[in-house]
Amino acid sequence: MGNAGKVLCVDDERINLLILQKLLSRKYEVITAENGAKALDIMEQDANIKFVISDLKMPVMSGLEFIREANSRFQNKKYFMLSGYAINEEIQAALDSKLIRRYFEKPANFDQINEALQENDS
Amino acid sequence: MGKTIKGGQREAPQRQLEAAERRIAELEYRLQLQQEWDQQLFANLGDEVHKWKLIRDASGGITTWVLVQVNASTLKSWNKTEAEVIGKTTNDIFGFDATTLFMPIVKKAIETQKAVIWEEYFEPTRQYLRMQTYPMGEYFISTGRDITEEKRAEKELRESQTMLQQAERVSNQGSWKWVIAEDQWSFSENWLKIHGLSRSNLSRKELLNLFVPEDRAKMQSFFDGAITHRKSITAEGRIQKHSNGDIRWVRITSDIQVDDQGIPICMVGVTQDITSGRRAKSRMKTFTQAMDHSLNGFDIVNQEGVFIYVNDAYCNMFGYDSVEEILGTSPESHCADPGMPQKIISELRKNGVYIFELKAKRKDGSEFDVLMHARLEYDENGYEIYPTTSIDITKRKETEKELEKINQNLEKLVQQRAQKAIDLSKKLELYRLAAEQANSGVWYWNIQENKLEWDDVMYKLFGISKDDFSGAYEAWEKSLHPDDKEQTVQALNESIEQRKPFDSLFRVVHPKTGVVSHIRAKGKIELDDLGEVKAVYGTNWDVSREMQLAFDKEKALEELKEAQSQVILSEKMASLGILTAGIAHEINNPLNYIVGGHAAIIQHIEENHSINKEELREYLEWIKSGSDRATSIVKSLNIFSRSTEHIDEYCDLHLIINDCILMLRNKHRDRIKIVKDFMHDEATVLGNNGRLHQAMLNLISNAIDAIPGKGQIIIKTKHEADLLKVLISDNGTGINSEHLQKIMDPFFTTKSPGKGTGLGLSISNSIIRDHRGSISFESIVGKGTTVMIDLPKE
Repeated sequence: MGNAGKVLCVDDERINLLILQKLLSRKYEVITAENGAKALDIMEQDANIKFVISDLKMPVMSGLEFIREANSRFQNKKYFMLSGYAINEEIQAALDSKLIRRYFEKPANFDQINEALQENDS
Repeated sequence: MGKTIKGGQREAPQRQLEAAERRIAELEYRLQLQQEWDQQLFANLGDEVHKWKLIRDASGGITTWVLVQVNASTLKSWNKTEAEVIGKTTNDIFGFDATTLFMPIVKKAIETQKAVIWEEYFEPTRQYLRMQTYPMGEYFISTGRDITEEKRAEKELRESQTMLQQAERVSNQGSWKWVIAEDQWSFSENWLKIHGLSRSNLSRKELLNLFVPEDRAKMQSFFDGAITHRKSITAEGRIQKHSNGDIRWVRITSDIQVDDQGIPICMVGVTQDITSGRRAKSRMKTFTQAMDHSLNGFDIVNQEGVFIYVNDAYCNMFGYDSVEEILGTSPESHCADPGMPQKIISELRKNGVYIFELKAKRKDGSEFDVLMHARLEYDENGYEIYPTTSIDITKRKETEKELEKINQNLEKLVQQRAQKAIDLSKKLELYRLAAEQANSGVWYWNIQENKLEWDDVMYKLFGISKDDFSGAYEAWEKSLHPDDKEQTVQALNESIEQRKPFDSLFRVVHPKTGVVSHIRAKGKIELDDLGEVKAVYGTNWDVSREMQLAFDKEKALEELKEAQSQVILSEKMASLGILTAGIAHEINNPLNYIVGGHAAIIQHIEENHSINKEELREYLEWIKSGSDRATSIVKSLNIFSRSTEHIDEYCDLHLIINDCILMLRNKHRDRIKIVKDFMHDEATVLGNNGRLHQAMLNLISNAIDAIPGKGQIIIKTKHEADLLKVLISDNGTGINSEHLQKIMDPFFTTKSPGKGTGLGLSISNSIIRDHRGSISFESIVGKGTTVMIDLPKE
């Protein structure tokens, strides 16, 4: 288990979460949630979460809805998105406003994700 | 005041002296009496009396005057004591420059040596005074009388006279007085005006002559009677106005005053001009008579709803014997509908006038038609009355009916004529067609002699002039269109060989113009005595126009088919478009498993010297899971795009629905819950998997689009007799009944341009029909829509 900080991964597909856990845990402590509501609960409990990587299409609330809500509630978190969809206007707007740091498309390049986390670790 | 008595004449000295002394004593006594009397008068006179002495300057001009004597009334009026005023100037006494005020009067009196009389309002004492100033040498005496009360009475009198005059003018009457004993007459101003007179000193005869000659005797006896009977009398008569000769009606009312013995002293009276009233009355009388004798019915109903007037015509119209029979009764019994009078009254209260046709009822119960004109009026007490004119229009109605009948007959006649004209023109049409048909050419080909005979039309049909035609069979054959020649010649030969009628269609090329025309040819075989074919003959006619039409029609049909297939293709593309976005996502996720599994294995190998089999197996599981899912998606896509048109495959509706839900996952997963209520049995039909996928995808996709936010879709399958039913229910916006009738129409869409082709449902419907099934809809706006798909079981 790494100690470079805590990463919260949000995805409604279990295997996607397992993969992220496996591939990011060398450097980070990985916490998972299968929807936005649960992720918000976890963030409420744990103030030390540094990074959040969320899927876009999920039941209960979409990834963007979740990130917007989380950003309004908690400070100093860095948000990323990992989705099977190509970038659309809404996501581009979120990137432009720096709400989301990076947008990764599935299938993911996990080295790229690791690098991005490192770059944004300040 | 005083007189100097000078000595009288001396007669006998003593006697005369004594007499004179007595006389003097007597005179002195009388003088003293006079003086006392004067003094008393002066002191007790109600009027003010004051005596003033003039003060002059060096050149003799009057500068002012001082008071030398004054009586009690003056002091009272001035509210002063004698000591305060004697020897003082007017200015001192009244406290203002009275000298200047009165100077003109004083000067006038002194200069003219005559009394000056004037009236004035004296402000310090608030009195109206009538003043007199008498000159007396270097003195003058002023007297003053308080006429304040007198003035007020005078003013009141003037005002009351003015009021009376106004009242007389307004009421158009004048007053007069006759003092009988003195035979003196006096008249008010307005009386004079009424009579057009400017002077008031009239003699009795003149007075009588004011009346028109016919009325004079009557008026004479009126006055005589008033005196004889000593009582108030009223009379009416005509006068001729002195000023302009107008004849006016006047009413004279008189009152007589008698003394203690009952002898008449004077007569006072009022004369009133009543011409306009008389005229109105006379007009009214004329109108009433006109009403009474009018040929139209006329009646008046009052506010209580009973007749207060009906004329004879009304009485007759309604079959009553007398007017009295109707008066006081209700008009309800005069109407076929007894509610009518109340209705009429309410109409009148709304509009004031009401004109209407009414089914009226006679006394004997028979009915007839009446046209009524009712008005709302008010009687002299302000109560409503409803005067109404009625006209019996039974005759008119009958006439109208007759006229209508005549009109109908006339219309019938016109129709018959028109029909005849149409028939005739149809016949003409036939003739015209026949005439056109007559434009067919006639030909006769003597085979044995190889001689082809044409009539005039034939030359026209072939575009050849008579000079250019050899009359041989070859010449004809040469005219044929190269593409049709072989076939036509063959048909002709067959006819000859088999001795059967010739019937052919071919093109000819006009040699000069190059025009191609289509010719229809019919012919018969003529045999000679030996039974050999002697000739072929028949007709030709131009069918170019028909051919062109047929060609155009075929072309249009082809274009239509082309367009239809384009449309269907584009819809298929659109359906695929719906899919691709979702498909990419659906495939990207399982691909992520594979990529992630691979990365995890690499990482494991790099980080560990020995391989943990369990861990590795898990990563491989991810890869397997990802590739399985991707495979199934691609398979379902294959089914979808399969191009076979056969309807003989086993199609599992449950499988198809699951595929569609999977494919549409990106459209619904985060907002719509899809509940599958499938029956336990297999839902298999015979059909085309690809096309059923397309139909079902469209229907489920529509259900998703119908839900704007979050919602639910229930998909139910069930048996019903020999049908399989699929019900797709959404709780979306619903479809209004107007749209519901059109949704299956091609190109009907409520989506914004570019969002839908409007063909989805129409194509789904045609697919289900091809499977011998049907689609129906139930929808409630705001509640949602249910689509029911019926398919025959395999």
